[in-house]
Amino acid sequence: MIGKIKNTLKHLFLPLESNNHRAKLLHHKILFLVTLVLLTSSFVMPQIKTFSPQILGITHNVTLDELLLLTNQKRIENNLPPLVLSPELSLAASNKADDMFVKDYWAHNSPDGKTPWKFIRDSGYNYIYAGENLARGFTSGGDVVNAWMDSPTHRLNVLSPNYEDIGFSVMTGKLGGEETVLVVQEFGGRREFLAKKPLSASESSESVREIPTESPVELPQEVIKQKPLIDSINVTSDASRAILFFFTGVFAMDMVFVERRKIIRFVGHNLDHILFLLSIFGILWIILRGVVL
Amino acid sequence: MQKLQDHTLYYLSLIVILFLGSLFVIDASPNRYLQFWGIVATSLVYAIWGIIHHGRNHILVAKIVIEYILIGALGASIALLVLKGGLGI
Repeated sequence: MIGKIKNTLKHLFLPLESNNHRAKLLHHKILFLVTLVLLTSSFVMPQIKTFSPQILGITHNVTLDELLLLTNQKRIENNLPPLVLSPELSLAASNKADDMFVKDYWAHNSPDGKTPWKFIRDSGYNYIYAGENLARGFTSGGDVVNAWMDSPTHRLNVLSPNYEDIGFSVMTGKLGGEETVLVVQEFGGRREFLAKKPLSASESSESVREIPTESPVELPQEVIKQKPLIDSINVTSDASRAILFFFTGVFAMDMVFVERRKIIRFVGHNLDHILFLLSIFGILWIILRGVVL
Repeated sequence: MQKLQDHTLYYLSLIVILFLGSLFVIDASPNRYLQFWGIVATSLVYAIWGIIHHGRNHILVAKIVIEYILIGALGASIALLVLKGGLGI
């Protein structure tokens, strides 16, 4: 029994006479079958997401509490006072996120020219200083805050002594044709004595933005929404990594075995395929990273 | 020596193709459609490059042509799974 299993594994993974000196898993039929399964899954998954959102969809662990805690942690580490969660700025952030999904844009200013400042003023927050950080595609609050801290302009907002209040919004939706988790962070300072130089909309693209009054959004909305059973991003990224690693490994094994045994055969170069698959792995890693603005 | 030089140029050109493909995908961010077509183009160029190389330096048979096409298709379909199935473009 064990011998049979061993032989089957050798047949699948190593180039032998039984598989025409090419690991069975690298035969055209298997490669074609795997490609077909991947293509079918790519088209079936969006259907499942549409008709059974409780099963398949996007989940994340970005919470407002965590964002506030981590942001204030960074400020305390830099000898700055913690920011206070402002209902007005949170409303501004929610309205901004809502506006971005409705009008489908990824920018500080909306396509119709609405600036972040407008959102903040419309929320009832009269600022002297204001700022805005945006993030999308992250699944944890820690990653969001770290990405902001790694970007000099966003870091300036997080560590600005001019701000005393903060508001957040975390929403999922479709942006640029992609389902994503959007995080909006609004900063504000009302105290005049803190002001050294009031910001204006023309001064900063990453700082200050605002809120429309027409679509009030409640903060707990995201929390109440039922989370899907399976996260589509996690499942596809894990599956793609596993497939890429698997085939890279099998090609490498096949290549080493053939080199050692000096087997002559008419097949493509395994090293070519390994380099190509590794570059796809790198490209996917780039794609799946979140972005800040 | 000539053979070694041919192979060096050959792999150098492959690395350049893959590097340019990756660069395009980075530059296209966050436009997922453009990123997807960048990956498809890279996969296609890879398959063509493999076929041309075999045609010039080795023995080109139908099964090698199919192999490069299949590997290119595998790479593109993995990207499609993540972009369409996962991110929902």
